[in-house]
Amino acid sequence: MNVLQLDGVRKVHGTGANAVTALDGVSLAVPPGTFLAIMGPSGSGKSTMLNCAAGLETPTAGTVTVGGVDLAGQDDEALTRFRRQHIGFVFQDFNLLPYLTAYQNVELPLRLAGTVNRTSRHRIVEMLDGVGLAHRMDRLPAQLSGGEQQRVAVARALVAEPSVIFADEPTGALDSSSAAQVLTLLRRAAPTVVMVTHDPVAASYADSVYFLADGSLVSRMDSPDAESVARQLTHLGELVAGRRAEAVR
Amino acid sequence: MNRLAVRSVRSRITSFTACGLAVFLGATLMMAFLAMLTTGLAHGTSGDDRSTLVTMATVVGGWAVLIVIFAVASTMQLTVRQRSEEFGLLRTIGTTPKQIRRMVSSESLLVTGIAAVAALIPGWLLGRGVLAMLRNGHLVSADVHYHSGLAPFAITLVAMLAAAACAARFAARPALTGSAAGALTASRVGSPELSRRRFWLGIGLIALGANYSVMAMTMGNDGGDKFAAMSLAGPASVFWSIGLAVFAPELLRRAAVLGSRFVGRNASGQLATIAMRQRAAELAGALRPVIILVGISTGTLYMVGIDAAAGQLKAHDVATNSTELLNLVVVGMVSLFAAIMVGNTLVATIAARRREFGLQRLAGSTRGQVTSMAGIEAALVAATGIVVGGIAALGAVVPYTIVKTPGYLPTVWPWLFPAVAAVAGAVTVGTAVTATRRELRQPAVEAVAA
Repeated sequence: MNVLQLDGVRKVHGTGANAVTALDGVSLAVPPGTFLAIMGPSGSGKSTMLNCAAGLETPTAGTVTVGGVDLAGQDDEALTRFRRQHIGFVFQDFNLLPYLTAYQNVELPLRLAGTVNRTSRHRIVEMLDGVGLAHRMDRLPAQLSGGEQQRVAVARALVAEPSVIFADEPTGALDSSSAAQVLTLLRRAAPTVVMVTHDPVAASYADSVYFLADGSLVSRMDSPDAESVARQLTHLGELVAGRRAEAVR
Repeated sequence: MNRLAVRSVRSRITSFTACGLAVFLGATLMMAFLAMLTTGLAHGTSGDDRSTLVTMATVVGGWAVLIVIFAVASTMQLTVRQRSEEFGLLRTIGTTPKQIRRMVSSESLLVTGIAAVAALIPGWLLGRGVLAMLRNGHLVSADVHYHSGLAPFAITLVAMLAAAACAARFAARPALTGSAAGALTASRVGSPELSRRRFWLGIGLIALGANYSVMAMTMGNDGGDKFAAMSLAGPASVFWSIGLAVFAPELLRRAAVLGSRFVGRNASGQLATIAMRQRAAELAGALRPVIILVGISTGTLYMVGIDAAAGQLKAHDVATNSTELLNLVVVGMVSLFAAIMVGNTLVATIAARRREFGLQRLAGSTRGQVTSMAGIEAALVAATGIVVGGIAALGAVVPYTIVKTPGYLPTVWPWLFPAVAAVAGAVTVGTAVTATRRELRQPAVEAVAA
């Protein structure tokens, strides 16, 4: 069974004359254990796609299933509980709670789910150790570097053992060596990853790359390397033009 | 720089509305009391009426003004504090501390000026109302004419502008000293330590309060002035309240530690108490008005209660009765002002937390969990304010009871303190929950991105 499945997902922002189609019928199946990258120029709908897949935004049409569960028709409360259990997040600007220490930030999802128990301390320290930050667990986010904050965010995303991790430009705010650390971590420790990025180097860590343009998936590349990804990105413009011409005909 | 100030005010409309409201209501009260003074000093006013009006304006009006200025300064400080990070940002792009100080001053003067001018007519009307009440209660003769003039407005305007500008500068200071990069991160870490300046300010105010308490006890029965005890005990509770309110961040940190024992395994409660220790400086802005509300209402109302009980024993004399009524009305106005300030500052603190709430939701908090966290936080703030305000009230109540009755604590109106506590608690928690719900309407992703 696929960990994540999108079928004909459409998302229209606004109504009437102001309506903008951000996603135009995206279908995608992600089997367990894969590391997937989604690429595309700005405004191609990458973030919208990720938000829809993660239940943070409701699609206008189409279905999203995570671990076989249809996200449609669930209220905010139920969706949040579901996310807490099955989905982990890593964001571009880390999104750690500023007044919680690294340890408390990683512990947060367990606290919210009410599953903190005697063994959780051990598990949280283990998670922080896994990202190489056990010695800094009592620091506040502002006392950590960007790379360190993102590693805490990865530990937080993994702590509840979700079935899929969504990462939105996880390396966008990091220098190249911190970025490499974070990507290696995601690759090694995460079960299934769907990552949105515009960095060909980041995409080269993935098993396969999907290219998104104007709200549609236009092509796919397996076992990508940074160079061919970069080349493919430059061709995207032409691809889009081609698709538009076809649509007109 | 002024254009920047106007834009900056526009983009933070909730915080500045809070400031404006504090100034508006405060200026209204202050102008009304100052109008008693100008009426008393006017040519046509006779000697007896003059002394009544001047006494009222200086004694009762004096402490009302103190509360008003404290409230305006506190709200302004809160608004500016919330922006430390923005000041850090401005500094990293090359704005000098001097330019930022000028911007902060312009902003606070702009908001304060507009709100104070808006209070001109309400203040004039309120003053006229208070005088009418004095006339009806036969505290002044019926032929006293209301004489306000422009002086009350001018004095109020200057006082408000000075209080707001000083508070704004004081609050901006931490973000303007040290390196620009340091200012950028410092705003996100912890809360400032108790500075020597603040420590001595608080101690000084409490000492003043204690001084008034002792004076009320020793001189309260002196001579023929039957209002001596009240005019000394009244300011006692005001100074005790303001003095203790200076230590609001430290009090909150203690309360958070204490509170964490009671929340048990409730996730929202645990989160609330952890966050409170880090955010004590911001939440202090919400605690201060609660202390003032509880301290002053409880203190003054018990004095009125004790007098009422004593009055029932003696023959009814018109002056005593009207004084009681007047006291109730004045305490009522000041309490109402303090209660509005409680709601006002809470709305301002919560409006600044939209992004933080979004972060929590992205980390897996349901809307209900965020709301209950904010509710528990507010309940802790209220509980702290009720306890500390209760202590401040004792500074007035104990001396007054000793002077007027055989005991140490009032036996009249046993429901009064619980009633004040209930009102303070309801306003605090109610406002927090409503304001939080409002901030949660937006989807979490948008709240974080904004």
